[in-house]
Amino acid sequence: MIALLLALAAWGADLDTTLAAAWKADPALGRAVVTAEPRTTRAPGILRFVDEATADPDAAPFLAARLREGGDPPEVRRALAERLGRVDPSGGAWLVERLVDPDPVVRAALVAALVYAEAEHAEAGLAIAAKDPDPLVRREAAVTRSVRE
Amino acid sequence: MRSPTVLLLALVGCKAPGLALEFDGGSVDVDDPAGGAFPGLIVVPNLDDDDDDGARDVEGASPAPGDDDKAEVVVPGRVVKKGKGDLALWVDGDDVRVWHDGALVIADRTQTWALPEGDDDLVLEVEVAQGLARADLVLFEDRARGDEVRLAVTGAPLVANHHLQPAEIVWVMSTTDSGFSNASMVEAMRAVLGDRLHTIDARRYRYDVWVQDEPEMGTFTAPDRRMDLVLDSIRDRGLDGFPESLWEPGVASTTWGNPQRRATSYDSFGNLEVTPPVDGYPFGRAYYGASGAEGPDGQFREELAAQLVQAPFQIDTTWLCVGHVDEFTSFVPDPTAPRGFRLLVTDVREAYALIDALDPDAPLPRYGRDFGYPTVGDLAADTALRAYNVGLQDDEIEPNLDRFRDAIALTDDEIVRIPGIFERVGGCGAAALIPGTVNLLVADVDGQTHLFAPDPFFRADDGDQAADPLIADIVSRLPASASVHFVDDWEVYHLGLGEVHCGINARRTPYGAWWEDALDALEEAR
Repeated sequence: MIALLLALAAWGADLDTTLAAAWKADPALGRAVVTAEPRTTRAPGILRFVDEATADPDAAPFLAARLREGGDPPEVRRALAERLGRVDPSGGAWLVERLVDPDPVVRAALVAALVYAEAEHAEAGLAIAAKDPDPLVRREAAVTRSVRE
Repeated sequence: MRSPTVLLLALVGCKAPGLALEFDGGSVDVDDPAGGAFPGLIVVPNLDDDDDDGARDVEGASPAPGDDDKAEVVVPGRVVKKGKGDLALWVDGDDVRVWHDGALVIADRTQTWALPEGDDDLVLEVEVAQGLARADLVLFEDRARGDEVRLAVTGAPLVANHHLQPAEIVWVMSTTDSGFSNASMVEAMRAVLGDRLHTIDARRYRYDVWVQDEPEMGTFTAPDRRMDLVLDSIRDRGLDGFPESLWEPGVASTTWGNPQRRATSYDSFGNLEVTPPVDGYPFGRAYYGASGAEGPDGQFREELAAQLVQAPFQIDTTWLCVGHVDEFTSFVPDPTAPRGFRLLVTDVREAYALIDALDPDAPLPRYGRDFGYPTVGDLAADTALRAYNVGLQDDEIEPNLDRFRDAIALTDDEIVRIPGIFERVGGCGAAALIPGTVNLLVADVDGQTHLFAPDPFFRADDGDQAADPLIADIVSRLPASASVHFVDDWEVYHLGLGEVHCGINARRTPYGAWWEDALDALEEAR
């Protein structure tokens, strides 16, 4: 557990560094991601980002930062988690870090997004999710683990 | 136009009037009471608004000018005369009202109405308030003595449409805003459907493009009457007011289900479809997605089941993010099939067999941009996605096919497996990754079946459908008699977790006579 906490702290520091570099490299993209709005879908309460900016692989740090800030409603945070997992499989650390989100649907989306994460991050995240109090999160963890295998 | 059904009471016998009834197609009297048996007098529920006063005609306490949905009944003058003011009428049952000379004489079963003395024919009008309302219209002199005659009154049940019925009107929302336009899909439909295609204003209904989900179309029919019904879902998103906008003379609108309950996606009518006719169910069987505690509103299910004619069954859609039956199944007409139809079902193994046989370097720009798979090879190499899909096929889709086999004796020969794969929407469930072909519009127009399916864009050049290997494969599987149109639903529907069928609705031509063809099922249920 201590190792996990240390790892999370280190990953968080990495995000700070990466984010600063990203803002310096492409501030326009950063602004586009920060202000992007997800679309409604046929599923009630399920929003999705379908814009070009958030689909850019370089958008990952901005998505992660927006997710970390937590100022969006749960529906948007779920969409951010999904988008982040899709555009940057190496961003698993950022997903794990946000497993403290208070909304179980957001946490479930974070866990689902770990499907493409590097093993170190995925294992850490799935271990946390397996003990989540919400059955939806635990179920997503089980599915993620099974399809990764 | 009034129903010509006639109730004729003839006096026979000594102590009491010889009660007898005659009406279109039958008669009943004290010596032959079976003549008034169920279904007897068949009436369409008076749920439209012929006088345009904003209320259903059946809700009024005074006659609605222009109302033409009551069934006319006549008590001949000689019966009235012989009754000498001792005859009375009542209704043994609910949801049936009786009118005479512009006045409501029986509003419910607690009331009786004494027939006035006279020599003239007595004209009554009978109306019903519910689909498959059942009651007896009872004319009596002395009920204690059993001096009565009964005529069954039956409200027409709702018969929801299925895909083998000709399309009269197809509705689709037209949205042309930059970056959110379905103009090409609408135009492709208009080229085939012409004036049958009605477009819905996007701004008026807050860009709620899911036209399948708010209304369900069906009909009430009687021997001389048709009333269309627009069933209004408790979903109540942007299109909430659309079913009411279709309300007009001859078109009823009503809500089933508990509108106070917080609706779920299962309450949308993309989650309600009807099979084609099968043995025992000449109007098909309704089906919806549910499992355990998840599914459509319980009150809605009860009301649907109460219609009896299309005895509903359920399949499991809880594995899907949206959770609707139209996402992975659809019935299409096929004259070469044993029963005239086939069930299209999404099949992931068929999809991977095709994908694995293609050039892995073939570019898929749309999949690259929106799903992170720029080439066929990238999609094929995603082992987690493949494992997820194979699991869905084995654990969800195949058991659902078994449910169809059980419910309508579906045979393997009637199943057409359509290549498709799903993505995983985190925290929600599965959704079509390749646009779901089975999620299509079936429109039989002038005897020709047209299928409007989502363009899969499984190619490099958007404009070159002829070069799309998935289109070629799908067309080879679909009924040869159908004209297949692959339309662009990508931006507006596919990326919003839906496809073509989700975005349309259709009014279709009713057929048959439920009071004859489905009588066994109805009487058994009684």
